[in-house]
Amino acid sequence: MAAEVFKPLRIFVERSVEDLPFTRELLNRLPSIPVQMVTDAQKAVNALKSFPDPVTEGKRSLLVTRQRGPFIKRCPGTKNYICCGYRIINAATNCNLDCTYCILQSYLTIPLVVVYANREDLIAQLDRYLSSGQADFYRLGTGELTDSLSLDPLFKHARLLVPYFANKANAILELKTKTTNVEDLIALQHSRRTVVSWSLNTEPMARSEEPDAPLINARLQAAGRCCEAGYRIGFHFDPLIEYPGWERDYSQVVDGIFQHVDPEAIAWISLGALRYPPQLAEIIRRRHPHSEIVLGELFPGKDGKLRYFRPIRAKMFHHMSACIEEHNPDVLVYLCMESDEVWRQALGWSPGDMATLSRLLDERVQS
Amino acid sequence: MPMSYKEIPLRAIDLRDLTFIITYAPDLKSLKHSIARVGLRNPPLVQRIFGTARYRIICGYKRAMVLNTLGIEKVPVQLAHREDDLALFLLGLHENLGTRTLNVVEKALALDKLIHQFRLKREKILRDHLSALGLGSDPKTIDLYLSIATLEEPIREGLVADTISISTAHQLSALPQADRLAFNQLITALALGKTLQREFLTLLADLSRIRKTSLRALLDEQEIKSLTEDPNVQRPIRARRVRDLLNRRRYPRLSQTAEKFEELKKRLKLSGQLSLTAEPYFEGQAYRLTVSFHSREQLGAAAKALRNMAEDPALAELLEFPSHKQE
Repeated sequence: MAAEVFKPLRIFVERSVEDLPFTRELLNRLPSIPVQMVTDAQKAVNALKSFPDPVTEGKRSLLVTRQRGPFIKRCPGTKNYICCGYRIINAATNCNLDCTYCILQSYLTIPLVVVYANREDLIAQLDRYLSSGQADFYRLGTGELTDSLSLDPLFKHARLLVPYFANKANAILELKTKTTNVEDLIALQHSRRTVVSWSLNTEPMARSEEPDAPLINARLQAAGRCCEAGYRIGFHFDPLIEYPGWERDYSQVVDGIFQHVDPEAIAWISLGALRYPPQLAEIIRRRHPHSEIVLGELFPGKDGKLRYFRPIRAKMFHHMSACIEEHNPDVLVYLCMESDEVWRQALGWSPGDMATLSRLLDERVQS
Repeated sequence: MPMSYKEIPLRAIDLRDLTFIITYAPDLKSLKHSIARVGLRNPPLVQRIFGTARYRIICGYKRAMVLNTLGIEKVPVQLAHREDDLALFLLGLHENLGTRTLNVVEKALALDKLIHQFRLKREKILRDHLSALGLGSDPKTIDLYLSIATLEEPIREGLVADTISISTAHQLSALPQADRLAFNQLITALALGKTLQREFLTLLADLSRIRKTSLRALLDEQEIKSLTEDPNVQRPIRARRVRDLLNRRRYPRLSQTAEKFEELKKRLKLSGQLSLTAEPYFEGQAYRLTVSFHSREQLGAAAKALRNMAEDPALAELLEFPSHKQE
């Protein structure tokens, strides 16, 4: 299946990166798109201000700029809930997919799709980070502030990072995606140091809440191809959404996983229930008026984000975990940003803290 | 601007022609008093209606209305000879802006005319007119005010009287007419302040989507109507009762859990010295117990009550509560 290439309506290039090889290659891949040189990112942001919905317009606009800070950050986690200790590589931010629940709609100060052209700095920072001795093992991913692969036919980050991590004994890269853009991955040398993960939902939720992303079966087929190519595979059911018939539909997706992917190759499956900062509710109502996700029973949690009523979350996690266990009890299921109480209620155990959960996940992929 | 002064019969001015008019809900009392006392000092600016012997007001609508009520037959006017309607509209608009504060509806009508009647582009409105209207520079403001221009009279009146918030009005504009008028009646019946308006509207809009029924149909339900219209209860109490009912419907599982919690507390038979609370929205499983006392004896009694509480079977139930197994 040919990868769909994201084509922005307009490109802004910051002058300081116009001569970098990445910028030149990128612009060569997009010969017919108007390019505007800007002295700084704010000029590009200002150019979108007159549009009625700068978020929509931002997703159609590309900014090529320089990462002046660190490319690598720790996942900020969230207060009073157990984080998995992830580390984030920010090689790009924002996403061309426009999922209704996406936090990026309210999170990003620069609403454009941003890619950092100083890739030599990224590699230099990775070298330093991975030899810093901060940790014995590092789990890093590019899919926190963007989809790892949806823009990859254009940015080619996988070609840079997968071979890089193939030679690292103390780290693993996770590429999280909703897309089927795996063509490049199949041919790359990875030495099982990359986990390719898919964000999954039910078919009805994928259609209504993730309308720009491939349907679930296509995602599972892509996962099957990566599995055949020897990659470790991850799945993230996040956000789980409650609606009439959710139990049956999510069970079917779990069945689909085990039809397409060898359980031995599954690094982990994470579960996270729908949650978002209060200000996103207003944005969802305005930008996605058809979406019914805001009609659930969500309340402010201990971190201020709106979350499903605790028994609803526990029930969803319990159901999902039971479905997965029925297929294969050895698959590691973990909860994303959940409280110790919910872990215990839903799964019957809890890692108790971030360090323990982080170690459990590391152990799945260290060998 | 080329113009001339002349005197015309007042009846030759078509006061129903609102081509250039943004005046809304004017207070004519002081102007009437002034004109009656010293006469018309500043004649209205008019344009001849093409192909007729009649005129339309460009600026001075309130003056013409007062003259009409005073029964004046002939009025001096300034006659504009320029045919550029946009320039004439802007002339009238800026004369108004220079002499008085426009109300919310007038600002909405001005933007509506600039965009829909004079076909100005949003970028031009943003650049040249929005801040002149005192509306800042956020492009979203344009949509906010355009939505106000579509609203019915009772809601516009509420906006001008400042009993309805602009954001509520904007939300109402997205609803069918019958729904927004029904909600406007609810605002009046319960004397809802702006914060409550927003809360009620969100609750009702969500419920109407969940139940796949109209907002008006929800408000017409007997249970809500009887609370809304109860003549024996003061309006703030009625408002609270309606809000509680709407919350119970919107969040049924939290409401049932809260009721069950109260029932378990009753079963624990806590003395007046002890107060037991759950975490907000039952997000955590910890409970907070407060002990009040002002004597050694009272503290002893509370300690005894606590020991009894620890043995009570209802406590075991409470500690497992709320469970996903109830779901």
